[in-house]
Amino acid sequence: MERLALVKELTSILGPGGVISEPEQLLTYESDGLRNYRATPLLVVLPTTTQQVQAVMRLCHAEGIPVVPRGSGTGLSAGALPVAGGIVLGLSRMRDILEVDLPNERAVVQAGVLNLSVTQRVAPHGYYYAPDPSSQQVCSIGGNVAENSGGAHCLKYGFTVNHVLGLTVVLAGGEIVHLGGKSVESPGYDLTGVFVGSEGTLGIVTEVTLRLVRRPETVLTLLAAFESTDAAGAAVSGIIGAGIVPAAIEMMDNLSIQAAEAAVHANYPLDAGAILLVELDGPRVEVEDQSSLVEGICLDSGATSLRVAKDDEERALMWKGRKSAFAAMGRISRDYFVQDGVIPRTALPRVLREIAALGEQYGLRVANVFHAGDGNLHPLVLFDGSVPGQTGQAEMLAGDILKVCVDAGGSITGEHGVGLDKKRYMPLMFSSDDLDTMQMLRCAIDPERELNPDKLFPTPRLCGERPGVYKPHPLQEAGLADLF
Amino acid sequence: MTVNIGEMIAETGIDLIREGTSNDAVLGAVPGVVAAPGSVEGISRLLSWANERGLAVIPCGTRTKLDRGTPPARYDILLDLSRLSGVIEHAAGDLTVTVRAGTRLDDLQAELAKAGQFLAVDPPVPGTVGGLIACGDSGPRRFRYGGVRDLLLGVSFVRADGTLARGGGKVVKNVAGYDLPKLFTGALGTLGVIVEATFRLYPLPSVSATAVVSGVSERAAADALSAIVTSSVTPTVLDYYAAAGESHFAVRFEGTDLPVWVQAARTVELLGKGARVLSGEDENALWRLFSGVMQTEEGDVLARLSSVRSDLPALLKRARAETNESGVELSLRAHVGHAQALLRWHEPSTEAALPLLTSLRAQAEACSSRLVVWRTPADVRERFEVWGSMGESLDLMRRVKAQFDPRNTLNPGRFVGGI
Repeated sequence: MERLALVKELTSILGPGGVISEPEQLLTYESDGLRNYRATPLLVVLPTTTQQVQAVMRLCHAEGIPVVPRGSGTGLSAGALPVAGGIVLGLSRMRDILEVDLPNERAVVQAGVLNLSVTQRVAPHGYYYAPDPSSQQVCSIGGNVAENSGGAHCLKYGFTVNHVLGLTVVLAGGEIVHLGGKSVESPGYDLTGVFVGSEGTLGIVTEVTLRLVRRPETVLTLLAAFESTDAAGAAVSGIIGAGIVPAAIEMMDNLSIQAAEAAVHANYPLDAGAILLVELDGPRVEVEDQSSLVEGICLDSGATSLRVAKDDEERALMWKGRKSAFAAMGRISRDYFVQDGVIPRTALPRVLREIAALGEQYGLRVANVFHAGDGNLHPLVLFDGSVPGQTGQAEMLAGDILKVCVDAGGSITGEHGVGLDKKRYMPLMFSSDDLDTMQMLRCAIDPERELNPDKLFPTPRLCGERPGVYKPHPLQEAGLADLF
Repeated sequence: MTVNIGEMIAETGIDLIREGTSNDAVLGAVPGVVAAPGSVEGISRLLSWANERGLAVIPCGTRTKLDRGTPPARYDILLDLSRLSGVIEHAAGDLTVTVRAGTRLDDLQAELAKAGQFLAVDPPVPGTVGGLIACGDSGPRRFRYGGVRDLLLGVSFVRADGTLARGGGKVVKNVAGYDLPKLFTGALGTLGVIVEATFRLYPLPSVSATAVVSGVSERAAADALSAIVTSSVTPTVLDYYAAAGESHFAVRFEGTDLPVWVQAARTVELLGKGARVLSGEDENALWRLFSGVMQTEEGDVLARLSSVRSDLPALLKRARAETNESGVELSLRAHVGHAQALLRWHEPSTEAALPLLTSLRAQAEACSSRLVVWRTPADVRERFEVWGSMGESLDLMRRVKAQFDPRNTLNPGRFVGGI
């Protein structure tokens, strides 16, 4: 079908406000949060109901048009990058909170609802929605589902997948399925668990059933400064070893501290080799019990200063420094790449040394912000794109850093997802049999690869293939024929 | 189909293969052979061999859950994984452990306890790690720590065609690729044979105390629950137990000394008259009593109900009333915090059991809850579908199975919808 006819057909489904076809307006959708990747979509559609999404998917299926779903477009792995000749299906107009069920600690929301909106809605009653990515003021629940987003409080509270109990999904052919529900478990395959983190490659999520969490009685936030990341790392080991599971432990190195202070003046000690931001939450008696232990451990590990936030304002300021660390890099560098590797927490000292060595090798600075609790490392590769060749060098350094993470027993992505950006690194973590097996899922659910076709997997698998142990043809075995 | 043991030994290289007997039966079906490979390669060769020949394989560990699900459509080989055991790596500083699937859960916990850690699962029937994942059974502590699916970080498995594959990873935080660990949890071994798993661990609590109030109705327990979950206390377990004329509502705290005692005391205030704190042997005795629901006799019917907090009390009350009317004895243990309950009918006749189960399932499904039968005499199993209705997601599930196991080699017919 040619473009004009397509626009007409889609407009009849979605109304004039639901179809974007003018070139200037399409520009907004040509990239997500990873702005070095850009592609122009054929069209953008903005449905308001699950039925509209179904009608769009049916049409695209019939016409062989690939579809890229998009939430708020804040993703950091180019997961919502348009596909050539494909449509972007944005969920931003589906932003209603459909149901709040406090006695059962559940909320049912449309995919376009912003992450923080859920907490804002239930906070007056003493509840909140726990997964808190730094972009939570703008990112959508649907996007969180696609990436299995985390946030600073993962170690204690888990990720999106631990807080999603049910989904309404529109599949590639337009079939609508309801997965899971309000109860914690249902018999059968955990398809809800599989769709979370599937990066928009299996279906379009339109509604999500979420688990709410009761606000803890007490929150205590502590900032400790150390002479080195090694010392800070030892403190973290001590805390974990003491049987404490903090709500969050964040570590920043000197370069990150410098940047953060220049940007937001969070009163971080500028001469510290590293700082730890430790947050404890729970019943007051438990938090008090743990905080004295934590303080003792920090001091034993050589903390040069220790400060406990005395009120919400001070706590917010302590966090502001950490949360603006990425954006703050702009103060000390023209350009930067954020990486998202994961390592076993105990490997941190070694990995940081290797990263520092790589940085020296490339002649580029790397700042480190680290979710010390769960091992999620965000190395920030600083460079100057105006210097010829430096962007390429920075990309290579970022890739080498990922290899270091995987070699240390970690992962290529802790929260940003694979998308397009890290597709090429999947073979670092997974064998071809592993990738093949994962794609069997895709073959079951989106066999014609109509949804986000170019994301996640480096080499697509044809769904007619039967993978596995290679069996030579009898003619080959008899030496009568050969396979080229 | 008869399995030629000699040929099997020669072609798979597995040294421990013997003829199957009635002791190896799964819901009445007896296999041709039992094989106990000692390595992953052996498992791979066995599956590849069986898959090619259209033979059906049922994996097992301690055999404690072979009575789950529907009778297999075909059953040729019992694949015994108990030789594949042992901890591969316990990274205590990272709070993770990687362990072979044939390891007994109790042995794993003993090993982890040496470093003051544990795998925060307490399934009603502990067996092996592989069985834990395949059945996905959670116990009372799910309320605090999440289910098996929330604690499993990575899984290695052998596909029906013998290929070894892996999903997830070894670290607590990882979003690379599809979440195969979730897919495999509760899949009853129908998608692959799990050989290795990595779990997230928690510190082992050193102190425990339980606040309990007795002689309570389902309604009173529901009110108590509501008071507790809106308060500041953070229990690990919230249970309602009713059997043989006694009932208890119990709230357990586990952790370090002061927080446990202060919270237990606060809970007693919330629970009101008659509430008390138990610790030590008294506390253990109470939890042993509750665990008694699982100790079924031949002829009992045991089922699992999954619901939400607001619907569970009415379902349980009605189940008790209808059971009383038919003169049958019912024991129940409800983890009311996350609304999962175990119900045990004591040796009901088939004529009594069927209407009770049918009624409870209808009421459950009417409020989007689920009733799954775990143990039952053959008579009842033949006339009452153990899994319950699956609705529209069944088609997707069938498609997934068809991709992973196109020849239906693994546990054929045991799972939901006849998968």
